Amino acid sequence: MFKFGKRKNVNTQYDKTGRDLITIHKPKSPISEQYRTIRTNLEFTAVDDELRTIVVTSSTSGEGKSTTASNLAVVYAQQGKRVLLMDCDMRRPTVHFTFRLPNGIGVSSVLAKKTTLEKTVHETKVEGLHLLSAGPIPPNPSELLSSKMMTRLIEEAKEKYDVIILDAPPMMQVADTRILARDADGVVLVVGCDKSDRNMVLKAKEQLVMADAHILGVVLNRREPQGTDDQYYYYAYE
Amino acid sequence: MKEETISIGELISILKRNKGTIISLTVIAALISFLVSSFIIQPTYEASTQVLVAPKETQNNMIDSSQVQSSVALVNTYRVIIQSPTILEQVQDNVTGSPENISNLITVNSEQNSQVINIKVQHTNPVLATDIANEISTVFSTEVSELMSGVDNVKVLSAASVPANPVKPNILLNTAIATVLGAMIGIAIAFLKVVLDRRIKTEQDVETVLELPVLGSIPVIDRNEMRAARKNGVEMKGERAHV
Repeated sequence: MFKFGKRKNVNTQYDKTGRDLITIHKPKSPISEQYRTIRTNLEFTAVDDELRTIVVTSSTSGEGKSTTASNLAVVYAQQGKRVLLMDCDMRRPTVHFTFRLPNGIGVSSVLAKKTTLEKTVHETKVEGLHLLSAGPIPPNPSELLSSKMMTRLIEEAKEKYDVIILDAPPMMQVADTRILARDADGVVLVVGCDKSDRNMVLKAKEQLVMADAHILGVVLNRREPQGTDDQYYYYAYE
Repeated sequence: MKEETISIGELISILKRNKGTIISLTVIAALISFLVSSFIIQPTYEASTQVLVAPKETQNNMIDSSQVQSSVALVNTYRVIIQSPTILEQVQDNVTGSPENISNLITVNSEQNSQVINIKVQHTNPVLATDIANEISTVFSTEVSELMSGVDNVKVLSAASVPANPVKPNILLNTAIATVLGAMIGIAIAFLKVVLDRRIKTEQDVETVLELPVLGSIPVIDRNEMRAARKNGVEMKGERAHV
């Protein structure tokens, strides 16, 4: 009855159930179509420079970074590209839950030179999509990400994959993303509808600009369905 | 800050979205007001009495207009006299159980150009209110001739009778006021919430606030639908169907 200020946010907590891979389970739904639109738009934003490493981040946690990164990786793979999804959120890794893969070794292990990229990537059920999970949580994620190993890892991945999508931590809490954004070709900022404070998002944008990152654009996530636009035509397509 | 305009459609949608808040606030305000007026506030009763200021009969039984005029002029003076301590102290002494300061209970008024003075007494005890009203009129009518040095032109026109129904609180009026007030507060809260809401809601917000292009907007993914889709085992690409 009362909703003064309190709002349910199912996804804000660090849950281990994984994110919704709608692009796999419902490839024909308008939501999956939206992910394909994002893919197309990304292709158009990078006419001159090649867009191969994309960082997906947001201002705060729980806005849908991992969902966006995973689904985006899937639609890129569905297009026939070789895609590597890298979980660079070493503080709260979730991507391996989404794809139901182990996280014994991952990005942190490769960066610590304990293993190689080749030995660490998992094949997913999506053809062409490989996953590099975050690995064991290291004590110093920022340092690991800013190390030369990271640059080398991305270079190596670029040789094997067409597109590398990096699922980054939120901007506001840690410096990791600014480091990642410097190395990547572009940054996609995920904004949780009805969630992100404009000042926070603006700050995140400023930080990215200061880090000399190429901001590709915004993905507006978890928008309320707007009647005919989403629902009706949704059922018509199934 | 940029000036924001809101269309009527948006206004209606804001109200619709907050209709729970608005309706519940209205109902609660009305309910509280109704309960307070009917159970907590002590009902007040009003007893009224009327005093006529009439010129004394002259020998030839003629009422002369100048006498009427002088009576009308006297009404104002009498109104003040009624509320004077001289009268009220005496009333207080005569009525058993009358409160310390009865002047607060009394309203004295008269119509313009009228020779009638209305005396109203409000009290939570209807009998006491009646007693005080009647005592005022009798004390006043006897005292006035003494005060005004022999002018004896005051008559009690109608004595107060014990009122059956309280005049205060007006339950219906109070409830109606509270209902309107509750609705207004609810609507104000609804709009305040929108004005103070700094969260990003639409693609336009992204474009105006961030000045970044919107690559796409993803509607809420229905978790239950997703769970069903997973259960139905929609085949993943690259995965072999198992029988």
